[in-house]
This record gives sequence, C-alpha cells and structure tokens, in this order.
Amino acid sequence: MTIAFAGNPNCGKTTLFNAYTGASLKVANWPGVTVEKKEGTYTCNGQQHTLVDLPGMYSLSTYTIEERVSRQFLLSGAADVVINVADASCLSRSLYLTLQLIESGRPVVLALNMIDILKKRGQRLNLEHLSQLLGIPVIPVCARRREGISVLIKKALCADVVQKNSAPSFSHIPVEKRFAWIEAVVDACLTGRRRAALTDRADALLLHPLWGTCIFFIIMAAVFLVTFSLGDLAKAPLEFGLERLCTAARQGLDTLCTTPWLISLIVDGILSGVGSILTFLPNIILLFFALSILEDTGYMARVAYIMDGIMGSLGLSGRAFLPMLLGMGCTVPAVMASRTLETRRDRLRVILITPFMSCSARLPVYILLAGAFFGKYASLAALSMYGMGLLTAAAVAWCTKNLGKKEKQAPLVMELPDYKIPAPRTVILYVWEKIQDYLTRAGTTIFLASILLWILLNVGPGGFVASMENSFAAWIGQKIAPLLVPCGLGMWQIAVALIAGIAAKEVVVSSLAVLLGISNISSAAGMDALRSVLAAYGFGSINAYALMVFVLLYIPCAAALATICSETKSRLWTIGAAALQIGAAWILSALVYQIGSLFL
Amino acid sequence: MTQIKKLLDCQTGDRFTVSQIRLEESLCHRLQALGIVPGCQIHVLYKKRIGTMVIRCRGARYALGAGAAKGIAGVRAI
Repeated sequence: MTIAFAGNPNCGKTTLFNAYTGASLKVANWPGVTVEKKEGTYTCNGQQHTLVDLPGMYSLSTYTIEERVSRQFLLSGAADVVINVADASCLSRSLYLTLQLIESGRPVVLALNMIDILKKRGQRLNLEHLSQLLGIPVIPVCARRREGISVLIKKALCADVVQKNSAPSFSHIPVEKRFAWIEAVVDACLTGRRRAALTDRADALLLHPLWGTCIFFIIMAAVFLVTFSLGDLAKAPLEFGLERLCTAARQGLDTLCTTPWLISLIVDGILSGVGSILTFLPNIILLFFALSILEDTGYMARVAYIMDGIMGSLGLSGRAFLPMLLGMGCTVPAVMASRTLETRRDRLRVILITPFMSCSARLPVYILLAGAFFGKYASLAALSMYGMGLLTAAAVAWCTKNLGKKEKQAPLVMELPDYKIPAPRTVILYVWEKIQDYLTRAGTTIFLASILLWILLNVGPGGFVASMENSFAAWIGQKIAPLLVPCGLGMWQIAVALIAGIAAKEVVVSSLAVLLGISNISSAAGMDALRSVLAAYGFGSINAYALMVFVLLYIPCAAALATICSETKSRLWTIGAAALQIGAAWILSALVYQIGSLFL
Repeated sequence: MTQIKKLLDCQTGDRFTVSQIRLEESLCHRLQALGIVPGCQIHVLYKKRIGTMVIRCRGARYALGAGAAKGIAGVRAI
C-alpha cells in the first residue's frame, strides 16, 4: 500500500514521515523546508508499505514548483491512502485542502497536529464531531513527541476499505461558500476564546519596523562571532591530537622501515590534508547549531518580512532572502530552495546570487587566513566576508533586475508560524547530519584530493621529483599564476590550491597544508609557519584578504554547480553562472589588492 | 464602517473585510487557498512604510507584500 503525507506547508508532515520510516529528513519551523517528494518504507505485521512525504501545499491549485510535484502525485492516483496532516492551530485554512483531497476520491485520514498549541491558547477541539462532519477519521497526533502515531497508521492502513465521506461536495461551489461551510464546522467543533500567545508579544519587538531589522543583523553577527570565537576554543584539543597523531604515525612508519615516499604520502599528504580539515569541525558544529535554532524557532520566516523592503529594491520579494540565508549553511540546498519562488525569472536570479553567500565550507579558509594574518582582528576579517558576500549578491541582483523578459515581480505572500522552543531532537538530527556530511567529505573528496595533490606535487615529467618546483602541479600552477598577479595571488601554489578548491572549498586549506609542507596548519604554530612561508614570497595581509575574497566568490564547489545545472536545466546557464562567479572573484579580489596596496 | 479602496491603505491595528480581489490569477488562487476571499476578516498586525504587512486571517499570520495588499479591496471596520 502507498500512503502519502499531504498538507499545508510547515504542519509536520516530514516529522511524521521521519517517525514512521526512521529517516532523518530535515524539518524546521518555516514553510517550504521540503521541496522534493521523498519515499520511505514502513513495515507492519510483516507487510511493507511505501510512505511518501510530499512538499507542502495550500490547495490543489498550484502556485510554486514544489506544490506542482505534490499535486501531480496526488492526482495521479499513485497513493492508496492520503494522510492529510493539518495544523490544528490554523484549522480553517487547513480544512480547505482537506475538502479538496476528499473530493479527489482517495481515502483520506486527517492527522491533526499541534493540538498542544490550541491548549496553550485556551481552546478545545471536539474531534469526534469534526470527524462526523467531515466523514473521515480524525486522529490527534503530536508529531514532535511521536504521540498518536501508531493509531494514525492503523487507521490509514484500513482506511481504503471502510471510508465513506459525508462532507458535502463543493465541486462547483464558489470558494467563499466552501470557507463559509468550513467556518461553520470549526465554530461547531472549537470552543474557547483565543488568548494572546507568546508569538504576538515576541513579534511586537522582532517585527518592529526599525528594531526588527537591527535585531536581525545583530543576531546574524552574533551567530558568526560565536562560531569563530567559541569554535576556536574548542579547536585546540583537536589540533593537539592531530599533532600527536602525525608524530606517532611518522615514528611508527619509520620503525616499520616504510619507504620515505609512503611516509610522506601518509603523513604529509593524507594526515596533513584531511586532518587540517577535521580540526575545523567545532566551528562547523556551532554554525549549524545556531542556524538550526533560528530555523526551528520560527524566526526564519520572519526574515522574509524583515527583508522585503531591501529585496524589493533589488526586484525580488522578501521570500527570496530565505535561499540566500540557507546559503550561509550550504549552497546546494540553498539553490534547491529557490523552487519556493513563484516565477522562473525570480528563481533563476536567486540561483545566480545564492552562491555568493558564504557557505560553511568557506569558513575553514577564513579562519586559517584571518587567524594567520589578522591577529586580534581575525574574527572581524572573517565576518567581513559574510558582508562582502551579501553585498556582491545584492549587486548582482540589482544588475540583473532589468535583464531578460520582463515578468511582473511576484509579491511576498508567506505564512508566519508560531514561535516554538526548538525541539532538541530536531536540532541534534540537523547538526548530526551536517557533521556526517562534513566527515564524509573529509573522508572522500578531501581524502582523494589530498592524495591526488600529493602525487601531482611529487611526480613530474621525469618521474619522482626532488623539488616540488619540477612537479606537474607546479607546471599547472605556473600556467595559471600570471592571471592571478593583479589579485596579489600570483603564486603557483595558490593557483593550484584554488583549482583544487573547486572540488570542495575546504580543499583550499588541505591543499595549502600539503603544498606548503605545513603539518597541523590550523594550529597556532601552523599559522605562524604559514605566515612566514608565504611572507618569503611577498605574500602579506592584503594578499591574504584578497585570497579570502577570491575564495568567497569563485565557484562554490562541483556539487553546487551540478545542482545549478539540474535546477536550471540549462548547461549554458550553469556555465554562465560559473563564469560570473570567477569573474566577480577576480575583479573584486583585484580591486581589494590594488586599492589595499596603495595604503599598506 | 468607512469605505476604503485597498488593504494597502490600512494601518497597524486596523480590521478589514475583504470585498474583492484583483490580482494575477495565480496569486488570486494562492490567496483563496489561504482563505483570503471576499467576506473574510483581516487584522493588520504590523505594517512597514513600504506597505509590506503582517496580517491575521482565519487564525493564521501571513506576511503580505505591498503588491498583494494593493490588489485586495474592501472596507475597514472602525
């Protein structure tokens, strides 16, 4: 049997889906988190059933791409039963889709989530009466606490046999009359007067025309400052561990009489490369922890309202800022989140600007370079990258405002959910998933990139080389380095690190460790060594800042490019986006270096 | 009751009854699905100078851009 979870955005469909299937799909407290249809399995009494989590939709008349996915699936008849997840705290609106689902002819079970919010508001719902009026089973659930989920699935599994609906058919009835009927149903089932909730009091401050914007920027600055400062404290034990590991590995391999090239490959290539990335894990954990708190409280959705004015001057609605904000975590889901925008033109423009937002993979590069070259101003230098990314994205949005076929800008229409205390499970799952991603990248892309780079650095046209200057990597770097001279980055090692960074931005750090032969590059001693090695090439703080700008703006990673290609369905657009990213990186880092050189 | 033309003209705290929606078809459908249809009551919770507002309708809160608010006509309750 195939059971589909359908309902309004942000009503708990994915939380339920995760509870049944054991999946850990992302959930958060803002509408539009799920943009793809996901399938999972649930076994009951030895029988396997397919569960399908659909993106949220307000009605079967679609408005955005992800709603179209849900509509197509529901109308295709692929689902044997539909579990209509509804937010009990917005019952009138939720029941509009319920009526449409009932009319579509599939058996429907109504799962009423968030009844606890009703209780907090001092309201009560007569579920039996609601079930009688709608003619479908109504099951109360608390998806977050996994309450009522076994009753719900049992009802769903037998719903295809027993269901007969008694709700009137509204096929040709105007929408106003549907809502009049819905209101009558809600009035008959809901008792108690709504008390002002915490959300109203919090919004009075957080959505204030002046303070709201100031608070948003203060929150974001705090998120990144905490990421840098607290993360650096937690990094020290990992650096110490890495140093000990490198020493032990070298001694152990020496004792085993391993050949020098193998020792070099393992210690200077793999351990230095992969290890240097692992030491940044505390910073990554803190960043995603802070972002998940913002997402799960319900504040994210408010950002669309706060930023609507600024985004409006760039020809986009406030909603377009959400993919940009997600881009501070990872570019890949951020590009996919552009699906929640209404017009293709808006989607393409957001796909173009989102990669300029500084993702977590760029964080290790900032921490390393800012730590090595900017001393006590390191956090400020790293923080400025987020500002520069935001300004570049805004500039590109402004420049593309009048490009292409003129389509009317879709205005902001977005639900603002109630604030909630973040669920520890949601936050832990979110952060754990990001840790897994990071470790997987360290164990695959960065591991392979480190080995490949070590080979390219130690092999030349005549076989093994005594000096890296004669290696293949040096040859490639020397061809590209002249192009980077105006940016203050005309070293073949930097050119090679930047090329390697297209695989994943963290690779820039691991590459620098391997290229410059600095083990434990992220430790204080490693940063000192980096500064002195680069100083020998005339590479100072202004060059380091230009390098940070280049890393911020050029191609985020191969995975991001692949996502841009799949979302735009255009190779030409993808090549154009990559060219824009490289062009912007070159121009801005050259400007930073040339202007900075006048003063320093 | 005071006759006004658009929801956009309302200020923070105003209550408004929708009589007509004149917007692009897709946006009309979206507003319909949210229950913003002729006859419904809207409470303007916050409004910015540029016209973007937060409204409450049928128990839910929505952020509404000026472009949407100017296409919603009705009367303001005093």
